[in-house]
Amino acid sequence: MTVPITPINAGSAPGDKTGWKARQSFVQVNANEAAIKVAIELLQGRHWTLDNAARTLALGERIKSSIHGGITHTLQAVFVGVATAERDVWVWNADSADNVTLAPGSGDEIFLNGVGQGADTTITLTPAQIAFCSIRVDNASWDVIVFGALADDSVTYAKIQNIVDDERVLGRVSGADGIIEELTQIQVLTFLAITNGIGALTAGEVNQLENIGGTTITTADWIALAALVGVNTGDEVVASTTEVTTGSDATKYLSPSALNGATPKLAGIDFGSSGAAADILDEYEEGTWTPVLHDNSNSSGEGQTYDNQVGKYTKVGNICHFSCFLDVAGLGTLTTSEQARVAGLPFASVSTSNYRAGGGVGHGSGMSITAGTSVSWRMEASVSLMKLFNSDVGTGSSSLPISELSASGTVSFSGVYEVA
Amino acid sequence: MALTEETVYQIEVTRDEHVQVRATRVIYDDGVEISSSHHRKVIMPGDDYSAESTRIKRICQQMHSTEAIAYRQAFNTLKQARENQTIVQTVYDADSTQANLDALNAAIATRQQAKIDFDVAKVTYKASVA
Repeated sequence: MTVPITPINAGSAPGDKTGWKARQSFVQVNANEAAIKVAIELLQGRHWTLDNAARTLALGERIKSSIHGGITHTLQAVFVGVATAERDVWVWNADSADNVTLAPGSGDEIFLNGVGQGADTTITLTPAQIAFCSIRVDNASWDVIVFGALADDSVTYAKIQNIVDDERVLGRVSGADGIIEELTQIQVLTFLAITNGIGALTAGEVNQLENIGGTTITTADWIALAALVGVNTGDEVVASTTEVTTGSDATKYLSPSALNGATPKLAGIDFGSSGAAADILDEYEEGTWTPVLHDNSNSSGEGQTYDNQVGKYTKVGNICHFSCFLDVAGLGTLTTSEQARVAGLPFASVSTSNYRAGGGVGHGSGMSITAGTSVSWRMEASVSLMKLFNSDVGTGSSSLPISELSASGTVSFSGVYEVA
Repeated sequence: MALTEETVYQIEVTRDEHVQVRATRVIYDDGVEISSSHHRKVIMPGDDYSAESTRIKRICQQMHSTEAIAYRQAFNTLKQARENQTIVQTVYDADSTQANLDALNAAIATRQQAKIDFDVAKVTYKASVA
């Protein structure tokens, strides 16, 4: 689209570069229903040159000015009803030390290109004019924006850096001077000389607990933490909604959230109020044991052989819960007339005089016992074996000889007993 | 990923010189523990520990003294004598023959001697660890 240019008031003829003293020149461009009005005021100037004031100017076509002499000029451009892409005013500032002041109207945009052919040329926008403008600098090698006085609150956080990832802190860790960088969590910890995870904790490093991640907390870590919060050996640790407290009180509280997911090492849990040993659960352990068949000699070196020996236990407090599967394959030189004993239990029984524990054998096979009878076991004080019995007498049970267990016998049972 | 393992022993000596051994097998992945499991046994005075590790053998040698083994054996003998007397008594109560009476008297004598031997062994053992 093209529109005619109609000079309104020209002080002198175009091309008269020495005698043009006009204070104002007005050029109005009409484009159908749209209109462009350009008001150029030369407060003091040598000349203002349009290529040809009488020619046809296309929308968006360059309006060229050639301003010289280190004198402040004012270019006032008003664009009405024209798309942004067509508001293209080009300003040539050929000489150094020329200062150009632009005064756009409200809602207008002025694009400056090719400005700065002189290295010390500046373009000054007053605060009121800045309110109407967006500033874009395209040429990194020449175009520099210098702020003579920038208010502190003129630079917002958003203007500092658009951080591209989360959990970043601005700083610099590169070896040389340079622009700020986005620091990762690890870099920040390195910068602060803090190990990621818990090393030798000091009071100031307790906050590292928030950064443990997948790091395993060692016994030493917990001991260090306990020391920091004032929990000492022998102190009570009580689950509570109260946060961890410090101090010299005998009772310390750890909140459920502090214990969540952790494996605290405790001396015990007191279920009573008196502190009596009988009220304290102080041990838990799971494991295996190997059941073996003995005669009275209590020896495993008599050539006994087995198809299966499976024993498992869980010790809770002073009670051992065990299971046993003993599958005999050969008796070796065991004395078959002697009572069958299943030995190898994981803990010795309590030494209380006349202590007895006992139970039934849940399943047996391959034995040579009287039909209708059942096998049981009994454990006595201060031993780690069980004797087997058979309920084949009217008074109760009699000893089960190894011959009745036989070389192909199996027994499966479980039970509990009190440990020493 | 390099898997390695080791066995860690926890050994405790309880009353009557019972050596309780907990062998914990620990599996490591590049030096980081990924699993562990316990296996237990009890070695009593008089038990054969020749197949145990050097460390366990040393402890058993130290704790299972002659006095401790004799005390343990006397304890077992006394228990066996008591049980035998109970069995013979039951037989005699059911069939009061002279033979059964003789057997009962012999069992009583055996138990009494076992009790004397046990008391002596106990005193000797206690003195050895005092």
